[in-house]
Amino acid sequence: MLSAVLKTNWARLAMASASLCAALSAEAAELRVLTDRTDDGPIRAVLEAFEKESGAQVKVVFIDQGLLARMSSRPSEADVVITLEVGLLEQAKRRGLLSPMSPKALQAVPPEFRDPDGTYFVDAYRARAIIASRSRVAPDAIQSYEDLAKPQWKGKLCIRSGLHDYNIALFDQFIASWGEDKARAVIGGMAANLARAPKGNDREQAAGIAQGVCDLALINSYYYPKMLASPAQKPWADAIQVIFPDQSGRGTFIMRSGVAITKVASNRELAERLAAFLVTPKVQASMVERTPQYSVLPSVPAHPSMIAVGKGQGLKDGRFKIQWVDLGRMASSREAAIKIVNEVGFDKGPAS
Amino acid sequence: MFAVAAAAFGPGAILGVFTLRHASESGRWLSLALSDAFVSQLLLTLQVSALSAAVSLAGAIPLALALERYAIRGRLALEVMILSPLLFAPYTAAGAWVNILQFRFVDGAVAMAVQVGLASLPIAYLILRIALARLPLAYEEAARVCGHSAASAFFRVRLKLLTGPIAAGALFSAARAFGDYGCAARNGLNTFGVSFKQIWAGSHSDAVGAALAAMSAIPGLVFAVLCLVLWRRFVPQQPPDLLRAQAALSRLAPPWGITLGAWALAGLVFVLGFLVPEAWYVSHALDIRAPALLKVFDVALETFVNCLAVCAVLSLFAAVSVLAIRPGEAGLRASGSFWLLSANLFFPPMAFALAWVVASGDGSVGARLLGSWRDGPLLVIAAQCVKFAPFILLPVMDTLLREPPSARDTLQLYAPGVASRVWHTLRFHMPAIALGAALVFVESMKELELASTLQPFDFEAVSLKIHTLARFQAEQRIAPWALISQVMALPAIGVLLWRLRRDAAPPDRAFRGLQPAT
Repeated sequence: MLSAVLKTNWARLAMASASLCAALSAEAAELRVLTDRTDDGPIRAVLEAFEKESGAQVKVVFIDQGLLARMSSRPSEADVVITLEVGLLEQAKRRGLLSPMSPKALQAVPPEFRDPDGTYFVDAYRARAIIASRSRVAPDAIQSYEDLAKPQWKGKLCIRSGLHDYNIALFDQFIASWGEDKARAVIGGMAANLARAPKGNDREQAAGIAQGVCDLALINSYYYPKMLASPAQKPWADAIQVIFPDQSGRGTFIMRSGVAITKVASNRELAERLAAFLVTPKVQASMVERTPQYSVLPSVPAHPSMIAVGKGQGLKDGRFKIQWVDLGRMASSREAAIKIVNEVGFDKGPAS
Repeated sequence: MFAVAAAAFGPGAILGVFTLRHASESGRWLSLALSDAFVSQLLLTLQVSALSAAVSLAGAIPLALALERYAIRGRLALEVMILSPLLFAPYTAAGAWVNILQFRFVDGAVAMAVQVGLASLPIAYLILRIALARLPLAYEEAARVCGHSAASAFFRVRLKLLTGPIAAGALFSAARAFGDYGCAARNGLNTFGVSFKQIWAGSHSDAVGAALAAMSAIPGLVFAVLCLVLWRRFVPQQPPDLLRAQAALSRLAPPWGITLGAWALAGLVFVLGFLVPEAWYVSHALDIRAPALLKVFDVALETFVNCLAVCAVLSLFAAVSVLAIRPGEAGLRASGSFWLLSANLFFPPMAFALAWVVASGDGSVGARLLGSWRDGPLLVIAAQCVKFAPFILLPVMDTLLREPPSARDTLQLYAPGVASRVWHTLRFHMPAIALGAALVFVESMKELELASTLQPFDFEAVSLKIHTLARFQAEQRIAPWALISQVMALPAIGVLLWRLRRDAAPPDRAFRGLQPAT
């Protein structure tokens, strides 16, 4: 009887231990992801697909503000960071919050989209493109960012706040690529050409063109297909032409989304698997279809509407020429960009 | 009082210390921030705040006066209409208007002030209506007997006695406009809240955020201290006999002009603040598919539980406060200091959230105190409690001022035991606590920035879903989220209506039926 009881208790103990081990191993297979991309985009679906493939549990925080602040305050919180602005990862790297990935995790990413130290990589990008009125601006009247500063366009330009992250990232690239003097001249010229005080988001600038408030604006390229797909916003998309600047020169500046692994990632192997998963052709194709950004993989075609846009400028497969700016240089010119925006009174509007 | 002081000054102090610790970086950025553009944005924000307060008071004061003084037919319907804008967060209603008007007429300071002013009008109305119900007419009548005209007596006596409640109504509206981000972004206005986010996100520097946030605490503190002074100077403690006399007064039959005016004004508030955006969202809700609805209910339940937790914590805090603070002059001083908590309402919400992020960082005292609780919804709940404390403490302050100073002594004599005394004291203050809790629940449901910045892993909230979709101008898909948040807020609105209907109850109601202790 006693032995039976002991056997039962040992069996229970063994089962409990097994359960505990299983629980512990399940806990070990948990991955924590911090992202400022939207919950409504493809990321959640991608993470669910990764859960299925890896058997791991992915926990995620979608945070659209203060991502870097949270990473800095709680460096031990997340394993993987996925951001829509890779400049943020450069800052995180400088603060020692990230650690380099193994070559295996990075092997699918073309070298131009990798951090030289392998600390982060770009998984998608979009152009900071010029849009112009179809009816009021001749197709070849605007060729470059510098054209936006020409006096002939006085009172014709709509743009969101000069201090917004997208414009600061663009002006950073102006400074890093052209030097501070030329960048100041172009940003100042753009401020002088404003039709109204900078306001709203990118799509509102297209609405401004459709409503005749202005003739030119700057937006991220993916908004064009999104507007086309929205019945309420299609009239705005129909009123504009998308121009990839400087295609006969140095190329168009881009905004880059990125991926990195934190220094304290508790499960590096799993984190690297997720990083590699994000640049598989299948995931990249789904991202192009849903966001619709450009894939870093040459084998993944651009979104059909971007291919159609590119044809107008003689671009092959919708791919445009990129003006490359080193992220390290960009990060260093951020403060200068904000200073210039303030000095030229960019956000004050046309009166300035 | 220590907890109140910590809650009132804690976030500002944390950001101040953080700014000083990164003094070289902060100083550099502050000099940039204090440029012409930034100063003009700050002035614009003050202008929007003042306009919002004006819109709230312009609607709330005449409506509260009319409904308190006159027996207008359809009172319940009128009050439902006046409270209806509470069901929309300003950024949600603004999103609908932007889509309806296709960006025409919705940009600029006036459009945003109307939006925020309408959203805050119900709160100003509640404050004024309850204050008016308690206002002794005897002073005004005495002024008339002494030869003052009706207008003079009204402005020099009644409005003066209403200074505290008017300041409170203005405070909630102005603070919301000052700290707002979502509504300003949709109205295309570069207010302080928008600039704060842009320069913080653009610079990728927490020192910038902390420095600007510490700066933004200054107008909040100035306003809060001003309110505190006004409150102490003008709010009278009413002797209970006057209150009884007031409660016995029956409302007058309204002249037709008053009836028409009240219905027209309430109708305007209802149409602009609720009906039009509601109709827009309802029309888009018809496209919702069943699987999407399941997700909506799932997130709604999580939101409901968290909002209820915020409500419960603050109700408990309010209950402890009324037990700890004795009515009378000391009570006035103690309760008045709750005004200081309202300084937190003036922080750009992202700055307020940043203070909590800094305070709960790895290795910080906050993180050590919270332990593993930090990584759950507790931190969001705690931060929301501090932010929304003024909503529950204001009505509690009001009842503390109205409580007869001798009531506690009476209870000492007649109520058998501590439990009985606690019960009778709480019973007296319960309607005020319920009113505050209902307001907290509604506001917590709409809270966005703290939930977004402090959210733990796999955290969901209705406001986050609305914001996510609004970021990409998919307002049509916001419909189910906007509507479910309204359904969840309806019981709280019911509590507010109930509170409005019982506001003239005599103060000694809680002490009825007491027998002398033996």
